[in-house]
Amino acid sequence: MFLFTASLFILFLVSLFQLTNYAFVGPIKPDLALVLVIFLSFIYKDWIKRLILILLAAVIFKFGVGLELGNGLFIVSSLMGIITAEKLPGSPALNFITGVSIATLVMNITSFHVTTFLLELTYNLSTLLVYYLIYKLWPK
Amino acid sequence: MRYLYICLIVVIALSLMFYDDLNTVKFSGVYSISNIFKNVFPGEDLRERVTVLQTENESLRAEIIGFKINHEGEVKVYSSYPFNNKKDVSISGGLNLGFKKGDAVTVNSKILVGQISEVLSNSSIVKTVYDPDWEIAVRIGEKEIDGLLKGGLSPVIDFIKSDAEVVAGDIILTASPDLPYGLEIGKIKSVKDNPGSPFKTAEIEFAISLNSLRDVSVYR
Repeated sequence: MFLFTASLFILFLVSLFQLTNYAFVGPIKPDLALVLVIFLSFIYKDWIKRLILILLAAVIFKFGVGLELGNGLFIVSSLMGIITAEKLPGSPALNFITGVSIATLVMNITSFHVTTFLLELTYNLSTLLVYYLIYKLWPK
Repeated sequence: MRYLYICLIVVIALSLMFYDDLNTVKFSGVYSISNIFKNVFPGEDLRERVTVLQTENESLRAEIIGFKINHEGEVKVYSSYPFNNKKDVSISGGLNLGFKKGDAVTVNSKILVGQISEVLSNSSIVKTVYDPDWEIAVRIGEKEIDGLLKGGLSPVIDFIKSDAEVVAGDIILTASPDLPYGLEIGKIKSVKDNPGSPFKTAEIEFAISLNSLRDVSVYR
């Protein structure tokens, strides 16, 4: 329970950070929270916990009035990313890379620009690597 | 424990649908986090100050050309849209300050940032010129040559007459009926002739940078 509460808090901070202007890398914002949600699915196999993580980030990202397309896309892309990472038969590392790639593609589906997509994908995969390194450093 | 989790999901899902009034609280929180980062990384502050000076330089240049427009007080930029399919920002004023949908948002009342797309009680959402869907009529340089600006990551101006004298460095100004005339948008970066076409295209550079946007003013 403590670990999950800590994960919720970290996701909360990461999502708030993604809303700030400091999250910009050049003209692009990496999907820090999306990658974190997909990465945390490696730790939490329970779908209820995964849903709580996804919905928490979606609530923080709510920007305008009413239901937004951006929020819907975030929820769908998180689910797609998690399912891909879990169901593919390859090695976990390769599955997570594919999962993040598919999630990034879904995030860009409404206004697809090759340059934006490739930059965002590069940043997202780098973020995944950073999360993995932090996880490896963490004492177990 | 499982019931607790399910209750949590229901509460979060309901918040996702109905909690619009809390947006202002959240945006204020994001603004506070930005301030923490500003203090933790002093280099960022220096970079920001350089950008502010560059922006001031741009607005002075626009003033020299002679486009002075009345303006109201400044408001803070709270946060920016978290995904890359839109380039919106939220600002610290809404119905409480009398803002309306379509109001022009500027820096120093001379440089266009965008237009208000949604008004909440204490905050507003601004669609910026960086948005991929942004399209407005513009005039280029002192000769006021017409063109159509398309925003996005690589913004361009289309429909410039092929015989028009447009060169790199020319200032781009608003000429759209729903915006004040003569707000600066940016500068021409390069001009591309399209053989066989009566029009040419120009790549542009915006006068503002979203990363360093802190204070804006709104026309009412």
